[in-house]
Amino acid sequence: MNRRYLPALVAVLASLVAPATALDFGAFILNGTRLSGDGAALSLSQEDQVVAWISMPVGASSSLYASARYQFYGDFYLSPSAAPALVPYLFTAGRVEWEGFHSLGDKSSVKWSIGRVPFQDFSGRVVNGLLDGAKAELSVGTVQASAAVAYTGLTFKDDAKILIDADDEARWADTAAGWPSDFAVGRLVASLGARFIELLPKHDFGLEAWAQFDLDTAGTVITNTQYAEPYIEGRIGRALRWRLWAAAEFGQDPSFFYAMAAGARLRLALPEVLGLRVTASSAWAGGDYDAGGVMRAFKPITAGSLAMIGSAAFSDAMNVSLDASVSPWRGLSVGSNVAGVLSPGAADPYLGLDASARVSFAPFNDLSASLSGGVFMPNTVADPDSSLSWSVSLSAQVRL
Amino acid sequence: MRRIHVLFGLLTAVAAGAFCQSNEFIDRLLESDSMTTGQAAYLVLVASDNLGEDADEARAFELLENFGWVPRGATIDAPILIKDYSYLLMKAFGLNGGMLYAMFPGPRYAYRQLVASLVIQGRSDPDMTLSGSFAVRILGRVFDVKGISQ
Repeated sequence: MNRRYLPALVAVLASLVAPATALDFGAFILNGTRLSGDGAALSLSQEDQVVAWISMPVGASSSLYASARYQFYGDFYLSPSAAPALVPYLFTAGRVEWEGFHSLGDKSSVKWSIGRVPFQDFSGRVVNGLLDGAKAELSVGTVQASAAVAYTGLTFKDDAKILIDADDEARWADTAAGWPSDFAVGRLVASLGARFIELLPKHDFGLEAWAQFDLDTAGTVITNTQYAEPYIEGRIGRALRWRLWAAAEFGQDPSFFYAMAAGARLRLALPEVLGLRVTASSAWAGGDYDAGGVMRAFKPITAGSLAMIGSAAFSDAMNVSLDASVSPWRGLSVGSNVAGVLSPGAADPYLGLDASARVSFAPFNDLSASLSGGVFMPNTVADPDSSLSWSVSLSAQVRL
Repeated sequence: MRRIHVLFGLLTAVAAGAFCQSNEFIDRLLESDSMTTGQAAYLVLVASDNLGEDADEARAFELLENFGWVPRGATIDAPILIKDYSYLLMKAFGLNGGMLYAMFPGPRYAYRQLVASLVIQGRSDPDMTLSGSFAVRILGRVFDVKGISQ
């Protein structure tokens, strides 16, 4: 089975480092149970994972980390009753990374990361996830320059969450198992970035450029997109931090099109007041506002959501949210989030209200559990077919 | 900033002979690329008030044996591994560990605990040896965790 390809890669890496004496290893065991309802429908999702990892230094300035994941997943449809959808086993590579840091002298350094590593743009709205590739960052004084390149085709489609064009939609809907049905459409992702630290007192400026190149020549359409993302991030006093970003998307399929997105965040953090954190934020992904023109709905490289409970993709939508959390005592965190979800271009722009609460408890460094729940109340005037949806989730993690 | 004060205070105390048999010990410790088990025993047992400052490394190692904290197969002159140093710190200062440390107290989970609580910072692995200066920095952070510096 082709799914064995990635664990085999991890096994090879493990065998290469096994003779080393300076080797650390361990495992995570994760359990997640989610009871959810949508209108009259009721379902239970169960997910269990075991992640085994090894870590070892490579020379004085770099280290190797490799992990492999076993996963069980099941959806149990309680009402209306139906046969469960079970995935009894799924093996894949988790984070597999050779990372390093090297000082280049006075106020200069370079750091790198190669393997299956996290890729994320400044906002986390254009790219956010583990992909196979490499990234590097050069720091010279107060300027940081970064570059990255990655390939998406070896990542499970459920993990990659790439929904850019019709080929991705077809792959997403493909219920066959194995290669290539289980994997994301092959795309090359690349980025360049620059960050200017404290260009103004207490404020950083930056610009990131991301692009994805469609390598699926057998698909029905070739869609390439590029993103330019300027941002500013700063602090006001000791407790307030804020950020503002925008993203312009340009694409060719082969017709030229463009799209826009933006976001802002203001965060108040008062560690001395029970670790209080209050975050007000908003994110907007533009839609096809010129009806048939060159403007289209914003499509990020990896799909994201604007709601915690409801389904609101980051495309032709906007949210305005308020999040608050406190830590009454060590290891315990309690928080809640309220978000209004909008579609600015629609006749009735209000889509619904998403409200959730969460409690997480980590009594030890190797044991944690969290309970969360919430409800999405849709605007049934704008969408008469929509219904109230809710979920309660319980998760726990043990680190061996 | 407080950590700097802790380290400064620690080094000042050591230099002044407050809990050190002689300045020779701290000189040798800070110059050492690989701290020995004997040095670790003296440093930790004196800093945790388990041993008088007028003792020596041999007496500290002997006390370590009495406590049953000597790393498996270690000798007084053998370089100590960071996981064994972690276990020594956990036991000597009575630090609380994680669930696995409570079930299986030993160097492996002692090291994990000190990494998780940021007492051990930077690139490390459990089987590495450590320099004297690195050991003193770790000890300073243990003081932070225990609130000894406050």
